[in-house]
Amino acid sequence: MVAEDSHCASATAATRMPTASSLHQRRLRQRGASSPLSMTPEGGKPLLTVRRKPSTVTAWRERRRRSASAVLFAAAAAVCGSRPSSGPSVTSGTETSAPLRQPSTAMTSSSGSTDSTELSQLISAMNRPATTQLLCDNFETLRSSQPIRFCQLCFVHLSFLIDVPAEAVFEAEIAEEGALHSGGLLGAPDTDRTDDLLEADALLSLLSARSPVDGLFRKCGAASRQRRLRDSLAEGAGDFTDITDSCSSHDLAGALKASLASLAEPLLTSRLLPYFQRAAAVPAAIDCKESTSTFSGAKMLKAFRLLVQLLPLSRRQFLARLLTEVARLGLAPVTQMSSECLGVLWGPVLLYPRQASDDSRRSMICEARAQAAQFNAAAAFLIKHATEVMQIPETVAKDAQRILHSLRHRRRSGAAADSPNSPPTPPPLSVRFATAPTTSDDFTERQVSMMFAAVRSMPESNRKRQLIRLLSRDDHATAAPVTATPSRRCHVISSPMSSRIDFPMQRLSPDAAD
Amino acid sequence: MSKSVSKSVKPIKIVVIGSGGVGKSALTLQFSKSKFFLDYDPTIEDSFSKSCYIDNEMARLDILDTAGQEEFTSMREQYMRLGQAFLVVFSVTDRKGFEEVDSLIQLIYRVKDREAFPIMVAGNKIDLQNDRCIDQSLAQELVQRHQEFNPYCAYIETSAKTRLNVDLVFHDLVRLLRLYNAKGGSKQAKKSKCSLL
Repeated sequence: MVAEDSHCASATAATRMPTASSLHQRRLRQRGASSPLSMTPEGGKPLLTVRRKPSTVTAWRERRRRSASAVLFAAAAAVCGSRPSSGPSVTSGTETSAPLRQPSTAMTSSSGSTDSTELSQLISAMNRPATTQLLCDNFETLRSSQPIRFCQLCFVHLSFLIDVPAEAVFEAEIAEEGALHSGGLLGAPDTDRTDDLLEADALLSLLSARSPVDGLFRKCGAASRQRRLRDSLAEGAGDFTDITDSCSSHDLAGALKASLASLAEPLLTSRLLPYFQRAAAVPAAIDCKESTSTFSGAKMLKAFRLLVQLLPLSRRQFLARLLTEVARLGLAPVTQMSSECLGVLWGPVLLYPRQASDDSRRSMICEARAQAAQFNAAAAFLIKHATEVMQIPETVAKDAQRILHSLRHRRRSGAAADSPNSPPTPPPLSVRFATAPTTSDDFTERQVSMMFAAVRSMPESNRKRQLIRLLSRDDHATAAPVTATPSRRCHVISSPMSSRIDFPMQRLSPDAAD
Repeated sequence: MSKSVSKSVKPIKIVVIGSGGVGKSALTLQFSKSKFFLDYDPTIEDSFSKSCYIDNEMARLDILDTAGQEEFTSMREQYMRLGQAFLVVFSVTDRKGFEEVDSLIQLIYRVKDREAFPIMVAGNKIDLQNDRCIDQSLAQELVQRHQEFNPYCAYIETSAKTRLNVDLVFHDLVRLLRLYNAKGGSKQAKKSKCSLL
């Protein structure tokens, strides 16, 4: 049920970026009590029925503030998005919905620890990939027919896992206004980029034909042979068999790494690389022995899955091949390598910042060693879970299906979209924040004023002006009567300034909230 | 001797360099911890310290174990600036590692802006005689070429697995450094450079 999901979403946002969530709460207040708990395709009736009374929600919300573990729980719930079965293809929603149906008992039972079985259920729900053909097909349909919605859907889900600046959605809207071709938003591959990938692709094919050898990917190949190999591949001459025969597997592996490192556009694309890096910073990455059976491991897996789905097709396919081949060859017993070792070698290729000149890269490796270790561990994670990372998260696939359904429904109902109490344009996202506090919320006020202060203290820039405009507009909206139609779209992304404000987490602890 | 003596001794900074997978970490670990690991664990950067008596003189060695992979080459110059003596490792079973030795030594000269510097070349993995592809004479030849203008250069064959010559390679490097310092090699080299200008 999306309503619950989104309700939890506000909790998640609050843990990470309370200022953002409070903004949303303001917007929700103005939206009134019309249908705070339903996902509504504009003009139509609620797509999903309300399962929980609003009063329960408010009570639960109050309790949430008092219990730190509840916040974690809510985050888990939001992330896994497990909900009572509502779609036609939901097969396994019933057992995972249990923790969500009685959130209050879960919250009150113990403030210190979350029930381990419930947590493990959440984790397994989070890790579950979309298995049915229908879900996957719908996901693909949405990707091809509604690239913007698809992109936003992924980013919204991503925002529950890692910090996503609102630019991600703004960007999508800008692209929407301009002439958009379906690939453009997700980074349409230019011809030269595909050429680059072709080289790496050929090298990977050559390498995968070889059998694994001792210390593969670790030992360096001969630079001269690698250069010759890459040159001949670049020329596209058909007679490079004699060259490849003279090359050892180490040469091929080295050439592959060098080829990927020299791509004009990084393999994970310059647009998505920062998000991959943020996903790498999920705590699990530091100790990559942690598998996906832990909460943070599951979080990381889902974040990577979403990001992978956002990659352009050619890169996604190549990444899939690369990871599986690296895992297959590199983890063969004869190489004597572990996935952690492979992570050390592939982290720099896949995840390190690309624009890095020698100097900044050196400083990154030498000074931000913890960060480098994170990237390496994340690369190890990717290699370890090579096949899993390529799967579509079930929760996202279901949401995609829902969006498609609502779109079809709207197409069928035709002019219904023009009814007065619906926004002129459909909200690009299906997620809305469901908590509409009825009482005055000084916590929110405080958060908003804090955000104002933070924005004012920012250095003069376009961004600042934009933010001030945004905030004052929001203020104005609050002052306006409740009946005013909110024409603004619902930005559910955590915060436009997530990278700029360091919000102390203690403020969310029970004492600070009261 | 008491610990206070060891603390008073100025540490010698030794940097271990070489291509990937030649056994830099294995040598360093064998020397400092007397351990040998069969599995690979690529190094980014590790440092060890060990105190020992060399020719009845206390020496405190700070050993910096570095990464051999191309991905990390950008860090090279930085740690080369810090090093007082260098152990250049290659594997006698790996032609590529040997080919890189010469360029690494040249890089040391360039970074240090010296014509002579204490450099020990170690041919590792000589327990793997069957896979050997670099002859001793080949390596000797390379070192002799360098010795013409750098008397503080030497070649030793080692095996980190069997602990053959592991201590010797580090001890000899310290001896080279002492010789170098005693002769005031650093100052001479600099002066000659200046006079050229």
